[in-house]
Formats: sequence, structure tokens, C-alpha cells
Amino acid sequence: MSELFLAVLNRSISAGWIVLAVLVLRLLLHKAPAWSRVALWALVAVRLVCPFSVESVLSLLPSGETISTRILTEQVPSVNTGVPLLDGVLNPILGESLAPHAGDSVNPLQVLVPVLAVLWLAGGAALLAYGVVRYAGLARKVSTAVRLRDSIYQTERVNFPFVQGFLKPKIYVPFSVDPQEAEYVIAHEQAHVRRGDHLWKLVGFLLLAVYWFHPLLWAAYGLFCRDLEFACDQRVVKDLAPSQRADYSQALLNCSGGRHKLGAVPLAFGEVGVRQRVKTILSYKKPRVWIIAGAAVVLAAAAVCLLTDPLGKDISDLDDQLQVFLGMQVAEHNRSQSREVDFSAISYDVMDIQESGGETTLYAWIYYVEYNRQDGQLEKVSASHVPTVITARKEGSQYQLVEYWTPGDGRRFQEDIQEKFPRRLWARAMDGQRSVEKQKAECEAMAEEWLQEEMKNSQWDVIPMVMVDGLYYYSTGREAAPGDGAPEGEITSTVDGTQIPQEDDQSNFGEGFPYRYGEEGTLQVQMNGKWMVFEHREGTGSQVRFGDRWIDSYGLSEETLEWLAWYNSLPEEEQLAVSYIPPQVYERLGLGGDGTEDADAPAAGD
Amino acid sequence: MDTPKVFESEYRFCLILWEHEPIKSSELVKLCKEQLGWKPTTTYTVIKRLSERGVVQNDHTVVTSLVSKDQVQAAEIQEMVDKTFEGSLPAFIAAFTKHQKISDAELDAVQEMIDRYRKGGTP
Repeated sequence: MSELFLAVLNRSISAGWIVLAVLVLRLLLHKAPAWSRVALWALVAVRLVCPFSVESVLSLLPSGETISTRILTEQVPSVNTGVPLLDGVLNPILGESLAPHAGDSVNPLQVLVPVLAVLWLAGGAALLAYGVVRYAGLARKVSTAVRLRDSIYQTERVNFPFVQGFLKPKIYVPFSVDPQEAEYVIAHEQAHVRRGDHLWKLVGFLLLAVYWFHPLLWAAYGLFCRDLEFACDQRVVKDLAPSQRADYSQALLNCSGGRHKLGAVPLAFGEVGVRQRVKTILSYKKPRVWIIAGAAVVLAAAAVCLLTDPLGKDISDLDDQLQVFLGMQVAEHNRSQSREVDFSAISYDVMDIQESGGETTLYAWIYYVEYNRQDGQLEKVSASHVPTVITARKEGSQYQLVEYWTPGDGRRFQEDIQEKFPRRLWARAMDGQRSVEKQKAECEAMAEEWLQEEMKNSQWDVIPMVMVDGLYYYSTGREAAPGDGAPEGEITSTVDGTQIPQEDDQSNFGEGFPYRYGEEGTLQVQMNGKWMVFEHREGTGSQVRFGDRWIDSYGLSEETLEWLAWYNSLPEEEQLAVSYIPPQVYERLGLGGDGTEDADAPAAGD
Repeated sequence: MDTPKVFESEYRFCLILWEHEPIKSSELVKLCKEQLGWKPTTTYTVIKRLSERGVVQNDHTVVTSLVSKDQVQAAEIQEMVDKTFEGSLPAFIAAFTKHQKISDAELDAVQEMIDRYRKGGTP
């Protein structure tokens, strides 16, 4: 019940914005036929009736949901009107007056909202009851009305002409109206019936009973009724000669309490100004085509801008720092502990983002996938697709995790989701099929892109190497026997993996690694508990790729370098099929007639 | 004897009665349906009300009148307006105009507008 009330409240707030817009637009349509203004009010009705709405970038509404359904459980209640100025005024007030104090057993809103919901029901029921009673009373009164012709009746029991009945509407005219005037009155009422006004007014009244608490909607209903009368007048007058228009106006004047003034009566709800109507009737001209066209354009634009909601939330709505923080949280919660992973990707299907009380909560289906790189391809290692709720709070300049929630398994899945998610998101939160393909594709694309970059970059990554005592030592990939040798030094600085170390005790793969000298010309560097052999070679340190190996590039001839550039541009299969390798390259690989072949040399068609 | 009050709709009923009396009430109901558009319940209610007021009498389902046409025409046919209903029409009823407190000044102004228009001027 509280949720329903909050939904109604939200919808009425949206409708309120539309009413304001319509009030402005009515001025634009002042010269246009009255039915165009009635159509504007129809827009308001559509917004109030339709349970769903389409999102569009053209929406002029400030917010799709001003009052979050989480407001009942929040530490500091707040609203999101979509208008920063309003939020800035409202939220501090709400925070002060409605935030639970320490020692309270319950959030004041949890008491207040249900009470308001009950009041809302009561108000609506009262208004409906009033309508029913009045309607029944009127029906009883005119039960003795005498038929004039067709569905037109005359009665002495009321002194105003009107239409009653919804399925088979009947027109009632007082006996006191003289026959000539009666014809105009009847024509007007018949126009009402033809336009279906008796039904539209009923719809309006029902809507008013639901949304009775919003003052703008009462104004809207009043103006709607007014515009209906004008539209009816225009419809009747369209076919009347000028002298007939004067007669029609006279009838209107007489019926408004002129000649038939039977005592002063209070202004009825939504009264229609006689003067304005007569003025409109007497000055009515058939509207020109361009005015009608203009009105149509205004209506269409209004429909698009006012009936659509602002775009739904996306992960990019959050600030960069938060996005990074969330990514880290996701990775941490989903990472497979057992092994190293080359690349992981995350895709968010955002269901909602709620911000309140300094905390941001993300409701999303999170697709997390891990890849390992094998032979230049990415192999999917593991993947998960889970509806997740993450709450983060900004403290100072950092974000802190408040909660990382995922549902339980089996039967608990549905129960947990229904407990955690707002009702309007339940369906979406339980339906994984909806977005999984899209998210999978998104991640795959990210992985591909990463791989391409890696392939490209690894052309520029040089072989791991260190400089010690002015000499270059290159990684061989071989592990040394542990031995007893104590470390003799430590790598104290590092450069980027694409660069050559320039200083002593510097590497291009990291720092903090102890080293010791090994057998002739080798250095052993302790990494991950193992002593890895690094080999000294002359040269400037610059290297060039050869397939997936590195060779020193000093002293290589232009032709060799060109050949290498060509070779490196080939895909792997073609590289393996190449039969000729320049002698200089052979040398560097350590391949030669003496059989000291390097175990990792690519098979080169030998 | 004071002629009892008869309202306009009741007068129309009496016209039918005067033409066809004495008449069985069920026949009367049929006639009222044809000529006045009244539901049977309405006709019975009116018969009852009028007999209470001494305008008609219903003797074992045969209805006759107690006053004559001349008598009723002499007395003024009243218009009864229920004060509680004035102006406050249920919001969803379509009406020609809400009965409103139109001031004399407003009345005159609008009348002038109409008169001017008739004479060929702008409203």
C-alpha cells in the first residue's frame, strides 16, 4: 500500500510538471481552435493513467522518479526532483525533520508514509462518494422529466441544461427555457455528446479522485472543463449564420442567470466565464490551415517531450572515480583465487542508480569474465552473471564500500531479490536472459580490443633486462639451481617495459628484486622465490622482435632489419612457413653449425 | 377548495390521464412510457405522490382524476427548484453553463456585446 501510494505520488509529480508546461503551451495555442487545448489536457491524463513510459532523450521532465521507494529505509531521506535547485532546498529540510534520531526504534517515514497512504485512500473515496451521491440525486430528480424527442427531455426540477448518462446519454433542458433558445441549448449539448465529453469528464473526475492531493491537478481539471465548453461552442457555431450566433449567445446569457435568474447562487466548481464564451462565439472564424498545422506541431512536440521519461541510468552516469572503484569491487568479489588471470572484463546492465544521503547504490546485472592468453588467443577461463546491488559512500576524497550484495542460490534467489530490490525492478532483476547476450558480447569486444592492443604493444615491449655495473643482462627464461649464493645486490629502480634501463641496478620489469652473480657472464635475479638467469650481451640494449623472441639489434644490417619488419608483420601461421632466415638473425639466436641451438627457436623450415 | 399544486411534468401526466380515464394503472404506465418516456417505477411514484396530494385517486388499480383540467390551468403551474442543487452540478456532468452569480454589470456588458454584434459591429 505504501509502495502504491509512493508510485501514485511520483506519477502525480511528473503530471504536475506537465500541467505547468501545458499552462504555458495553452497561451501559445490561444488563437488555435479549442480542441487543441483539450488535447493538451489529454496528455496530462495519459501520463496519469499509463503505468509505463518510454524513455527518450527529448524528455523535458526533470526526473522519472522523484521519490525513491527506498526512502522508507534510508538513513537520511531525500528526493530526486531532477531540479538541482529544488533538491538543494528540499533535501536539507527532509533530512532534518525526517531523519531517524539515534535511539529511535524506527525511521519516521516508515510511520508517516503508511498514514499518508491511508489519508490518500480516504480522500479519494470521499470524493468518489460525493460524486456518486450527487449523480444519483440528480438522476432521481429528473426521473419525471418528459421526453421532448429522441433522447432530449424537459424537466422543471432543475434550472440548467445538462447531459446525464454515460452509455446512453440523455439531454435535459429546463421547461423554463423557451423553445427557440432550447434549440441552441440542445445543439450545444448534442455537440458534447458527439465529442464524447460526458465520458471524458468522467475520466477526468476519476483521475481527480486518485490524485486529489495535487493542487495543480484541480486547476488542470477546471481548465479542462472550461476548454471543453469552448470547444463545444465552436463546434455548434461553426454551422451557424451570424444572426443565429447572436441568438445562441443570448440563450447562453439568459441561461446563466440572466432572465432566468432564480436567486443568487454560489459559483460552481469550474465555472465557465460567460463573457469570454460569448466573445469567442461572436468572433469565431474558421481556423486557417496554417493555424491548425501549427497546433498539430505543438501537440506532437508536447507529446514527445512531456510523455517520455528522461533516459534511464547508465554506468557512465557515475563519476569516473566511482566507476573505477566499483570495477575494483566487482573484480575483487568475483576473481578466481586459484590462478593468475591475464585479462578480466566487466559489463553492467544498469537497472537503477539511486543516490541519497551521500551514498550511491547501483542495481545492475553484472557480467564478469576472465581470460587467459594462450598462443595469441584469449581463452575464457570463467564467467558469472549476477544481479548485484553495490552501495558506496564517499568519505573525504575516497569511496568506501558500504555493501556488496548478491542473492543466494536456488529458492533463495527469488526471495532475496524480492527483499532487496524495489518492486518495480523485480521482474528485471530476476530475468537474466534479457541482457546476458549483450553483456557477453560487450565483454568479448573489450577482450578483443585489449588483445589487439597487447599484440601491438608487445611489439614495443622489450625483453626483460637489467643493468648492473654498466653491463646489460637479458632474461633467458631459464631458472638457476637454488644454490647457496647470497644476494649481492638489489634492483632498486625500474623503467617502463618498453624502455631500456639506463642506470645501474635498474630493470624494465620492476624493482625490489635481489640479484647475485652466476656462472660466467650471468646474473641471477630472484623473482617469485626463484632465481632466474640473466645473460650478459654486448650492445646498446636496443632489441628487435623476431616472432615472439627478442634479439639485440646492434650491428644488424638494413636488409636484416627490413626483413625482420616484414617477418613480424606476418600472422603466426605464415611466420612458421617462412623458409629463409638471414644469417645475422641466426647468429643472434645462437643457432649455428656448432649445434648450440636454443630450445625456443621457432621451427624455420629446417 | 384550494387546487393542489401540480408541477409541469405532473401536468403532462394529467393530460394523459384526462384523455384516457378511467384507466388501469398498468395501461397508464404503458402510455406514459410511450408519450413521456417514463420508466414504470416513475409512473407509479407519480401516481402515489399525486394521490397523496389529492390530485388523482387510485382505486384498486383504476386511476381517475380528482381535479379538472380547467382547475389546474387556473392555478399557476409552479416551477420547483431545489435550492440545494443550484449551481453545484456534479463535476463530471456536461452542462450548457454553470449557473453562476452573474453580476448585473457583467450581464449588461455581455448583452451590449450581443446587441452590438447584431447591428453589424464587432463584438
